[in-house]
Amino acid sequence: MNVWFTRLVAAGAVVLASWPAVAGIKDGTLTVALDSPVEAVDIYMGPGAETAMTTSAVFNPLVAYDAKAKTYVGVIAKSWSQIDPETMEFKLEPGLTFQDGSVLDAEDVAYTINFISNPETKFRLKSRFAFFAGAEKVDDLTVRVKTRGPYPMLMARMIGVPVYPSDKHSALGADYASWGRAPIGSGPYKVVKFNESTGIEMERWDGYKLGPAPAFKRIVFKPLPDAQTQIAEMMIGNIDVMMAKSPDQVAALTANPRIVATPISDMNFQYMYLDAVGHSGLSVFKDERVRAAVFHAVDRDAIRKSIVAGGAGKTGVAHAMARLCFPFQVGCPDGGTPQAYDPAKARALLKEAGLADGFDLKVSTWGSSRPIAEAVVGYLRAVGIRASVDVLTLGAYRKKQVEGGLQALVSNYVYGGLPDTGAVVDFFFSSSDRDYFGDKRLFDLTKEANTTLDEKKRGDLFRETLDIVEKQAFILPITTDPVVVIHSADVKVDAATRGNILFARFSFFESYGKTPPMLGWAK
Amino acid sequence: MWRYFAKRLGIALLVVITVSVISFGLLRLSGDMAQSLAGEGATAEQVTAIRQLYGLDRPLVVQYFDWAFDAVRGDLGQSLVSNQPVFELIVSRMQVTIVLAVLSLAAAIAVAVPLGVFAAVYRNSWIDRASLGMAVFGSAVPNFWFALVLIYVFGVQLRWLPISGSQSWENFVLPTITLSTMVMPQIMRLTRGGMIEALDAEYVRMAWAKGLSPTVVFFKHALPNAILPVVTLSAVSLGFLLGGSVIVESVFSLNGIGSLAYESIRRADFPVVQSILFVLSFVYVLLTLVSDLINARIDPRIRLN
Repeated sequence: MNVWFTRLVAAGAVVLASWPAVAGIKDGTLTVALDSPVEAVDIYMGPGAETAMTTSAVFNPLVAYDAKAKTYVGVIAKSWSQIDPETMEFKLEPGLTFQDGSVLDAEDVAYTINFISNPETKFRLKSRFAFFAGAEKVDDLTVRVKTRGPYPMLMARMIGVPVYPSDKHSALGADYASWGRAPIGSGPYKVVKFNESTGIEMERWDGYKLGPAPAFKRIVFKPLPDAQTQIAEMMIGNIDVMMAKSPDQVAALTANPRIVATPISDMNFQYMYLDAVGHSGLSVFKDERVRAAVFHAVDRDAIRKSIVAGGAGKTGVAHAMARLCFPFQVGCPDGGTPQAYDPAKARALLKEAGLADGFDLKVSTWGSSRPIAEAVVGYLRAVGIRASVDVLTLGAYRKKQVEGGLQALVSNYVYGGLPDTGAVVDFFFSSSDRDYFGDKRLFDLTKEANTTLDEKKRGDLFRETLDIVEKQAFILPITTDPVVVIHSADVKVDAATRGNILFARFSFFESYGKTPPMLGWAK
Repeated sequence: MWRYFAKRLGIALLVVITVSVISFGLLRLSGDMAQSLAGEGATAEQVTAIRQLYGLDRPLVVQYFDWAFDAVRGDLGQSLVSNQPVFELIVSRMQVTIVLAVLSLAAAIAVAVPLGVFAAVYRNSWIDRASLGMAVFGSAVPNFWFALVLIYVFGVQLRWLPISGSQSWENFVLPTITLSTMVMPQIMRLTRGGMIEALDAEYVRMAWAKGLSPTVVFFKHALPNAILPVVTLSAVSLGFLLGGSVIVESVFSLNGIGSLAYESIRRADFPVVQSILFVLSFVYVLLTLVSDLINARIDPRIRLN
């Protein structure tokens, strides 16, 4: 369906290119396509890219991250200091209010953190906030946030904690799930109309003090679940912004000169790892040479250029990664040279390991990584490995992983807006059910990094960890996974925005005729 | 009649219970719900905590009966994603789906019944062949493809009609055309077959012999008898359209029950998926029951057998 329709659209785009401009910002209203309806403008209740985008327009967190300076900057918080290994004290900006005119103070911050860390509160991905022990108000502008043990990623996590007004939110009682349908925040836009099926309308809030006045008077978020429908709506000018899903879409739409593609480097990446322990019964990957052979067989550049949106051409910002982290993140060590594409070397290593005739291999995958896995399988077959793709759902993949059933995995890692290398290291090497590496040193290093507050020491621990990963051919970072924003030519998008895409996604709309913030709601 | 009604009702209840048990079991087998809720990065301890918080650590039988007793009382639980009551979610999305299904069925009947009649009256003529050609086209063409063609022609090129949303009647034109092509062929064929049979029957020959006009013969004597199976099919088709509009709703961004089902499957929101299956199977069974009773009422042979 996609190929056919893309060709059809490409033809149509060429025809439309000669038509008078229909697209454009009408009456200061920006219309943004959502991939799925948003059930609540509440990132806690519905974690997902669409909810994050809408939530970040209405609410503010305590801090944001400046990727250029590699440092955290205050948003609601004016300053912060570590009181003890388990307590961070935040001083808030004075004079802030919510959109209903009520004062935003330490009580609201403490309430929000205590709400999301309450064991009785039910919401999805609650485990993300399991590190919180609670928060307490010291005075109107001072709040202390407590963690369960020393937690070096607290600042990174705080980016994703928008603050809610305590009195309004608590008044809902057990009906807290309804908050996101009529939310009151302190962000640059307020929700004026919420309809899960038809979309969300927001208006610029004139009382916004934490950054430049928003460029658009109104923003309409329109749920359009089908990618082809988004393309058609984009072509006739009914929407101004959408996210591209494939290189084909980018090529087809940008054939129309009134439509522009701007790639944004995100913190997501595709990776592959192998069962180096032999959990699955396949023991060939216990041999480091076989692991290296598999990684040498994969042409990461070709995969990136042909499969990843934003991987080639004018929109090519995706790159083959050197490490499992991004240079602009906290603690990401420089260097790193993963196994380069070299099929001859791959065959030689297999022969050396006594596997010249190849072997049977199931490459498991799930979600958006499927096309990457299919390409990887093609490369493995080219060097004599009889590989096949094993497509799973998230639940089935995790079950198989926990039970030790994975022979090889191609998956994507989403930093979830965390600009800290600790996130990925913790993900791979802190849980025994993910241990397909069998190297105790990795887990010891991670355990130490997870409780070390000294940034320099953490950086050293990450370097040692990632060096082992590379030398031992445990994980191959295949490609970054950028977001390609398709937009009408009269919307200016800040291509330098990167990193915390969940929050930055909205900030680049701010760049319309203005100098945009680098990331999130940094002032 | 009452005995027949009781028997059909009993069978309908058994079907609903069976569907709910199978769908409950299949959804649980499709993956670990607690893991899906906790997310990929959750540790084993965090997954266990989620399992306890949502009561997923209880035996499956207990979970099923808890859900079933609540469902009977109208409480379908809460969405795992948005925490909203599932009943409210389904009701809020059902309206669009019902409008689309009813419009599609009405459009299908309005086109297919006259076509079927003409095809039977002028059998083996070009009208008959053209009608059969349309039926084959409707059966063979994938509806997502047809939907995209309509979008391209009427939305992108001609710009006559909106291609997404449900704000006005115009939004329903293209989805209705798309969806009605799914049921039109069966109705047309059934009408044609029924009419051919009726036109060959003795009572129609008698009508001709009495010198009645063709209009009276076709529409007063033949059609009412030929249309009986079409009534049954229409009731079943309505159930099919209510549950089978997932792709069409997604393509035209109608965000009805079909797209809710699609999103819920994608997000592993099991209580919503379970409840949609339950509600749709209930509606389907109810419509089938009603059509059975109507047929039994009209044709005594059915209830006596």
